[in-house]
Amino acid sequence: MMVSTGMEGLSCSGVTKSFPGVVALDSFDFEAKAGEIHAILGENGAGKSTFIKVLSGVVIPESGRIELLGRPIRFRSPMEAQVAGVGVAFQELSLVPDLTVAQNIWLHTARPSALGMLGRQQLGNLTVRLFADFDAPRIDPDRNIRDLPLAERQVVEILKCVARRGRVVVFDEATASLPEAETRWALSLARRLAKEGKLVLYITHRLYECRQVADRATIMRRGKAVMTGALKEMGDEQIVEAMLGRKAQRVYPPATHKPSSTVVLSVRNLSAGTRLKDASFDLREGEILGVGGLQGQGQSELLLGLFGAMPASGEIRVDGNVVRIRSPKDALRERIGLALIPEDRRNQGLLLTKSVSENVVLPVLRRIVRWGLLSPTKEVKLVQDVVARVNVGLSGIDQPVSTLSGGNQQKIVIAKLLLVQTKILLFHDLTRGIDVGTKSEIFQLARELSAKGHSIVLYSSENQELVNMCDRILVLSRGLVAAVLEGDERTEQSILHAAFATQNSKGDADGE
Amino acid sequence: MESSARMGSTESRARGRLRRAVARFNIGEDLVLTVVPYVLLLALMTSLAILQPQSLSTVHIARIVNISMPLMLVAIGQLIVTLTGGMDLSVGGVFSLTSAIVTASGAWGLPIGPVVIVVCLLGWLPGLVNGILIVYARVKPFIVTLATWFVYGGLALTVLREAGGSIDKSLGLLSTGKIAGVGASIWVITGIALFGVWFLRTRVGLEIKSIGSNREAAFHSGVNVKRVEVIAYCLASLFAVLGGVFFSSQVLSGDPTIGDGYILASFAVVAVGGTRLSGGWGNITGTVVGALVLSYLLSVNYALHLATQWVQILQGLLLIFSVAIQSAIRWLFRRGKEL
Repeated sequence: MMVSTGMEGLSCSGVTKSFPGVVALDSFDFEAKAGEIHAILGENGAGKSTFIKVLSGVVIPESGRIELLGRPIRFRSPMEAQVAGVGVAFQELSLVPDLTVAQNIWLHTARPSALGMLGRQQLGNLTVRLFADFDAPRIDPDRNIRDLPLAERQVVEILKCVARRGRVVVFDEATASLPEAETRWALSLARRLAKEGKLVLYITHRLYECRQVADRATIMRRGKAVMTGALKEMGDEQIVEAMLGRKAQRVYPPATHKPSSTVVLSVRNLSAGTRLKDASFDLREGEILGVGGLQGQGQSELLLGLFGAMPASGEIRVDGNVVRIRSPKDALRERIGLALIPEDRRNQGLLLTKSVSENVVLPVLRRIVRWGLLSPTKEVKLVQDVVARVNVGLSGIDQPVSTLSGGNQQKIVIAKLLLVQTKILLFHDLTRGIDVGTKSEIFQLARELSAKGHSIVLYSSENQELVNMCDRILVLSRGLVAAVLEGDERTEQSILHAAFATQNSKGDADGE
Repeated sequence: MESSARMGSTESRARGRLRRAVARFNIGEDLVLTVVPYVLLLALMTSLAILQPQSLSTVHIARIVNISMPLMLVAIGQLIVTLTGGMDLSVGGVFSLTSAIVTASGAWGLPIGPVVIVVCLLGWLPGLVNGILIVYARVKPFIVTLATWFVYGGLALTVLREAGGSIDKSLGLLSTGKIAGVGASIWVITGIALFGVWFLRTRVGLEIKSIGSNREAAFHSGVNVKRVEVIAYCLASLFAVLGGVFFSSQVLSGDPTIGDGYILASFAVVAVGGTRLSGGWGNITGTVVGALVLSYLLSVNYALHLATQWVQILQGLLLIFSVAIQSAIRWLFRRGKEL
């Protein structure tokens, strides 16, 4: 299956990199030719991102040989990689929030004027031309990155990496936060770059996207390449098996019970931020309620508004009583018991260097105090209880959170919230950019929690997840609830249909 | 369906109207923040003009500019490190050391011209030490520059035992001389403003901002973070030296501890100038204006014949006021935006 030599592409042999406690790349071998789109697949922690970091000079491997176009390379900084023609569109964006779109794209790519300046006019013109060259969705070159929505930032990130016109272009989960149209654009961009003779490495968790775009694929597991070949010759089953090293379990666990008819949360005329205008809905006990639609139609605002993380107006009833939620602290009160689990795993309020136990009991210290001192026995009992409920594999409750995988960290967050006795959980696009294995564990947990009577509001940008996980689905459009899908109506088509149908009737919301 | 969206309280409706007005004129948050120090300056100039109409004369303005110059120079250096997300306490020591060397060199019989030129040319060296300790020894800027402040301040005291001595009168031309009928300090401040407009649009300038804005992202996009950080501390120290030279030209005498008062004042100027103290956002012209604001406040004080302790109190209140306005503006623009 190996392609000839690395002469016309990229070849790696025996590349090894270890971090304290893990071997991220374990004598990794890799071959790809210029002019192809090569997908790299693997679970989180398989070593994909470490490989990309090696290619982009962010991480220096301990041993191994990398050849680019026949020449050995060894990057010691991102600058060197860029000069050698390796461009990476990072998943964790490499954009500087306080610089403009144009400044970000051209900081190291444009030639400064005679005075040494990178002037606004000059960069603006370059940017407009770049966007036109690559048929990219228009974005004002003078806007600051911090003012752009995530999807537009991602577009800028991709353009920044192709602006250099290097020989290797890496899409590192670059489409994870892109809506449909922009994803199609990114895919055609990848094809075009390959046609121009560039080597395109494509990293994604979406297998169907790989099949649309890539010619060949390398599958990684535990820092090694376990399978390489033409994507056409690999079945989905085979790929997932290679990724997991075992038979795949179902990604979406089936529902085990019907939600009761008791309404625990009733929301009327909720508006929040600039996007959510007027949303009303009920959430029942033990229900998983989906929130979907095109991106940026008020879904985020709905969750954040409910949680008190964003100013909102409207009527909220919990167990039939009107409540006022003006801050997350209000939401977490016992009487309300409403918690949000944010998408950003790194900023979700875990103290990474502290132990699982310390993290979990932090909000409920009051309950484990005896005579003014913390009681270790109470703490251990409490933590072991709740950790068992969320199903995390731990070596002990004293294990530092930083040593857990992303999915398990997510579960610790949930455990922490369960201890605060929350009944209603808001899942804020938790599974964005998460691998299949972790995703299915989180969904399994969601099922178990709902079976125990917790109610869940699940916002996801992937319609497939909504269809497979939710009892009912709210489709938001222009800040309003455009449809509530139940039973057989819960299909990806009807979500899209509901989302688009109301988009076209312009005018009513802009009429103010 | 739209009617229900309007059912929010009057307060939120007023807020909505304000936001829409902001959107209609397409005013950016950055622009409004940039304007704040200018508005403060204008307000103070107006109040002084009411108290003392003659304060609008060019002679008066030139004098106030002249007074603010040493602090302004130190603050510009402070701004540059602030943009990277750092801080520099050692500017005080460097300032004192400059004053001491320039004064003592006269007693050693050295000609003032070459001494000043050499001092300026080597002005970045203390910053190099700071930068290397911060970047390569990975010690926090606060600790490193606190330590080097003591060291540079101590060196100043060994060079010049106590305040006093005299400096060759020719150095005085730097602050009192005239070129083409315009006071030297006006030329210097114009030069600084031009530098400010230029510097933050060069690659290094943008890199300095990018480090303070998001260090990780800057590194990933190929910024040589360590080198740029060292450059920032070198510039801070260079500007402190320039401030020291300017101070010497004004008083024509030395003081080995004079710089200490400039440390916290430089932070105040940077804050009044509209800079985000955690780094990534700010501009040099704002800092220039910030220094003028403090000088004008002083003049207003004198004009009102207030006791000296009021100077301090009013400075503190002004600092709180200007920072409060800035955060109110940020709040106004941030609300309703997606997280």
